[in-house]
Amino acid sequence: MKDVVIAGVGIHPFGRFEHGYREMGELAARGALADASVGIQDVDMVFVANVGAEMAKGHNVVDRIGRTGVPVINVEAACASSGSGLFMAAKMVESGAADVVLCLGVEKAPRGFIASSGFDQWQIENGLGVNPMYFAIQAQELVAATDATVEDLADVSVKNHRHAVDNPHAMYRREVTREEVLASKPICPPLTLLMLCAPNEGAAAVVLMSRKEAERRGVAAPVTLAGLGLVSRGPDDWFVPAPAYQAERTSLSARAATAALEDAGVTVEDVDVVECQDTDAASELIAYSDLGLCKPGDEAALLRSGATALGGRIPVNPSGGLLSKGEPLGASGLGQVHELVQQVRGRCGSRQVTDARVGLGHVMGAGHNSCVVVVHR
Amino acid sequence: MSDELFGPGEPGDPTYLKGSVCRACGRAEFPRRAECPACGAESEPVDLEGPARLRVSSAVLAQPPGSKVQAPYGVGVAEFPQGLCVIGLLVGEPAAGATVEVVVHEPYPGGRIFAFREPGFLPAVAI
Ligand SMILES: [Zn+2]
Repeated sequence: MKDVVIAGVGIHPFGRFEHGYREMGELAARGALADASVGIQDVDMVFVANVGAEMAKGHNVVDRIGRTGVPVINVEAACASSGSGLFMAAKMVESGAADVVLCLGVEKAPRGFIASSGFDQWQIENGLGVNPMYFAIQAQELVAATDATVEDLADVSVKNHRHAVDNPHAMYRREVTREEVLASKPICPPLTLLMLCAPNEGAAAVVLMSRKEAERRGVAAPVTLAGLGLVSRGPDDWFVPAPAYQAERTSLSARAATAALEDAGVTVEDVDVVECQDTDAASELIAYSDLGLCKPGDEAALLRSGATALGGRIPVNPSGGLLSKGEPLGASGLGQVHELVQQVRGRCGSRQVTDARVGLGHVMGAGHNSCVVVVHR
Repeated sequence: MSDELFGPGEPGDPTYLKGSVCRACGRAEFPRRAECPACGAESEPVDLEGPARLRVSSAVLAQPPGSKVQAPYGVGVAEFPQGLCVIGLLVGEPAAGATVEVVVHEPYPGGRIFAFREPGFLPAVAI
C-alpha cells in the first residue's frame, strides 16, 4: 500500500443498546472525522460495511451527518465486511481517485445464534446450519492434530477477558477463570458458551487520506496503512457455510496475512501487536499459526508461554478480542483497526502494548473471506 | 432436495452421497458439481458410500434457529476415501476415528436426510 494513512479513528462501544444502527454509525463516524480534524464536507467518498441492516444503510447514517452529494457505497462480506470496506477505501486513496475517504462499519445484530450465514435450506432444517458447529469442528481438528487441550481453549478466553477489563469499548469487562469457562453452558463440544463470542452491536470508523493530503492538512497523529490482504474462497479452503471440505485444506487467513505483510514490506517478526478473529477460542489458536506467529502445532505452546498475553512478546487481542467485546459483524474489523491505531499511537492506557510500532489485524468471515491489515506509526 | 444429496432408502438403510470427481484434477465435491470449482474441467458423478472414517465427532446442544431437529443431537465429519470430508448428523454416538457408513435418517417426524453410523449399530429399543 503506497502512501495511505489513517488520519483518524472513531468508535461506538460494542454491546447492547436502546438506540439504532444509524445513531451508532453516526457516533463512530463523527469520532473519526473529529480525530482527523476534518468535516464531512472534506470527504470525497464513503464506504459503509454492514451485514444485517436495511437497504441503503450507509446513506441513512451519512444523512445524519451531512448531505454533500459524494458517493456512499455499502459493502457486505460477513465478518470481513469492514475489512472489505477498508480495502476498497484504501485502494481509492492509493489510486488517487480520492484524497479523503471515510470508512465505517456498523451493526445491530439480534441476540443469540446468527440466524443465516448463507446456509442452504436443507442444512438449516436438518440442524447443520449452525455456526458454532463449524467452530467446534475446527476446534476438534486442532485438538486432534496438535497438543492443544480443552484447558488451552479455556485459557484463550481467560486471557482475552483479562485484557478487556481495561477496555471501555468492550461488552464484557469481567475476568473469568478457566474453571468458569469450562463449566459454562456447553454449546458444541468442546466449545462452551464462554469460548464463543456473542454477536452484538457497535460501530467503528476510520478516515483515510493520501500521505500528501495528511501533510497538507497537518494531521496530528497519522498512522500508516501499510498493507492489506483480502482473499475469498480458493479450491481447498473451508469455512461457514460449506457442507464439505478437502481432507488436505488450505487457509484463507494465511494467504491474507502473506499478502498483507508483503504489501506492507514487513515480516511477521516486525509485528508488535495483533488483533485476530477470535470468534471462538480455537479460532484464536488457529490464527497464531495462520498469521505466522508460530509454526503449525505450536499454537498451544505459544499461548502457554504467555507470549500472546499483555506483557508478552507478541500480545494478541489486547482489546479483549471478540470474545470480550462481542462481535458486531460489520464493525468488528474496523474495531480491530481502531485498537491497533490507538496502540501504535501509544494511547491505550493500562492495556498499552509497550512501544508498539507495528500492528496486524485479522478477520475471517462466512462465505469464505479473510482480510488482514498491517498498520505502523 | 434430498434426491440431489443422497441415494434412495428407508430410514436406517445404508445409502450413498451424490458427489462428483473432477476428470482433470481429481478433486471430489459434495454436493455434486457439473464442473470442477478448482480447475473448471468437467466433473463426473460419484457415489460416496464409504466406509468413511469419522474425523470429528461433536454435537449441537443448544437449539439452533430454523432447525427442525431438536437439540441435543450428534454431528460429525466423515472423511471419504476420495479425500473429501462431509459434515452430517450422527446416528448413535460414534467416536472420532470410528468407521462409519452413510444411512438414510429421519431426524424429525417425516424428515429425510443422510447421516453417519457405525456399521452394525442397533438403536436402543424401549421395552
Ligand atoms: Zn479439477
